[in-house]
Amino acid sequence: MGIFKTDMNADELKRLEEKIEGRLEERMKLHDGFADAESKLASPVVNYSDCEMPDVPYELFRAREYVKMFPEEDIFAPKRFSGIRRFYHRVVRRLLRQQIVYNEFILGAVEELNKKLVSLEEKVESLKNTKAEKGGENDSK
Amino acid sequence: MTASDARPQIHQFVPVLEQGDAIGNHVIAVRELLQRKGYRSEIFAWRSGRSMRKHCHKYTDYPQWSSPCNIMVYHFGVSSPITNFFLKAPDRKVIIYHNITPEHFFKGVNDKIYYILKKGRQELASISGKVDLAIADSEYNHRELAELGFENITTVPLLLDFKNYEVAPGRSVMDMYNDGKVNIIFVGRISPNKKQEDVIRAFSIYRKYINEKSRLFIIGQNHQVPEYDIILNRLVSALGVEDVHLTGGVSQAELNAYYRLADLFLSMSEHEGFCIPLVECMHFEVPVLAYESSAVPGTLDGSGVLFSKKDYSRVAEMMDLIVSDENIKERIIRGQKERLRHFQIDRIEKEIDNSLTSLLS
Repeated sequence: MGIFKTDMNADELKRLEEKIEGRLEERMKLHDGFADAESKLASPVVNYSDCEMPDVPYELFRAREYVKMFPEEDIFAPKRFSGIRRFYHRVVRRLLRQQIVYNEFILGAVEELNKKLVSLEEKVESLKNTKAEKGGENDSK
Repeated sequence: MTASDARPQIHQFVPVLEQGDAIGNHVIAVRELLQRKGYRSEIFAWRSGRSMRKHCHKYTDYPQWSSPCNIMVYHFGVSSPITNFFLKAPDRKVIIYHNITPEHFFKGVNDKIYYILKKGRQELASISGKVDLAIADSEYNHRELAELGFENITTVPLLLDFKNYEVAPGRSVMDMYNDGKVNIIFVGRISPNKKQEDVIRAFSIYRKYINEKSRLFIIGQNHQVPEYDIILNRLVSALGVEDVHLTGGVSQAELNAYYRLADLFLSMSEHEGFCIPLVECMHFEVPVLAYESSAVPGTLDGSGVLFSKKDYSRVAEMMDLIVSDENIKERIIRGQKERLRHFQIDRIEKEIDNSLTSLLS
């Protein structure tokens, strides 16, 4: 089965595909292994997506990016940071990291509290219902 | 004029309103249509290009207009603070879905866009069940909305202003490239989901082994994902293929010139919400050879030539066949001309008008 689709009946499309196969065969006789050679040339550039992405929300990703704006000094760089910049980056990185960790901690805690609140509300609701049912039973007695 | 006016108002919300952007053009065309029909209609944006500021208000200015009698039309294609604002407003709500590119295309290219797109999908899911009407601009987008649980969905294509295509083609482009060489084009912003890398790979085979007298134009803005632009340039060098032109953004006159010079439009895109360049090819009588993905088959609806596998050698042979065989070329163009009728302004205006005003009745 061919790879092409167009507004033609099945026979016409088949003839077209056969024509392409014929031309490709001729081409391969003339230039042996050209398709593989092309793939070999392209592969180092086009395999860019072979990486893992951590499953974090955009806000956290952005906060981490801010940390990257204040990098640690590259000791192999030809031009070194001044002492004051080195100190400044260290302080800012630490503050931002603390902020990120704190935010994540608070978000986690809030989420946990919210779950507890929901279960508490459910319990209160069920108690109310039980009480109402019992009240109803007593009335009928 | 604010919410106190008795007549219902229909206002549009768009995250970013930029000149030359297909969605921006659509938004302005819809506003003109609504104003012609006698509705008070304004555009509200989160961000806007300098030249577009005269067309819109800041979305945060909307509360003074807001009313349960009004309709808010939200053009959704990217995450923005408008989503929360939209959900809280008392107005009746319509979403026009232009699609969100799946984030996986940006892996290893641009992490920021990866996470923004992921967030956009979460936002879209949060709107499901909270709108009175959902409009998809393609059947593909319609299916995505249905999968997310949206109800009352209708499909209306984008409104295209065909007057733009009557702008005289840029002289400098015409003079420079009208030299008998075969011109292959692809139009669309430089982005990894559009897979311009595969267009270059197919062209490389075509130019090296089939037709030396050919060139490729990759036309589209390159500032949104500059990392991918670098990858494309590296690929051209790695393949050692000549006559590949990455033009960047072009004016309407230049775009019209490229279409007039084009012998074939080659698309390898793996994700399109609608794909306006396909309709432009129908208008300019440029045969389309495209990879069968996302909204592409729906927009072409049987016209053009599709392929289901990225077999570069076979695609290159098909490129040559279309370019060199007048009968095949004529036949493809005839089919595309037929399909173009579906995108005529009058028909689409009527559909938009019916969809929106049905909410007011």
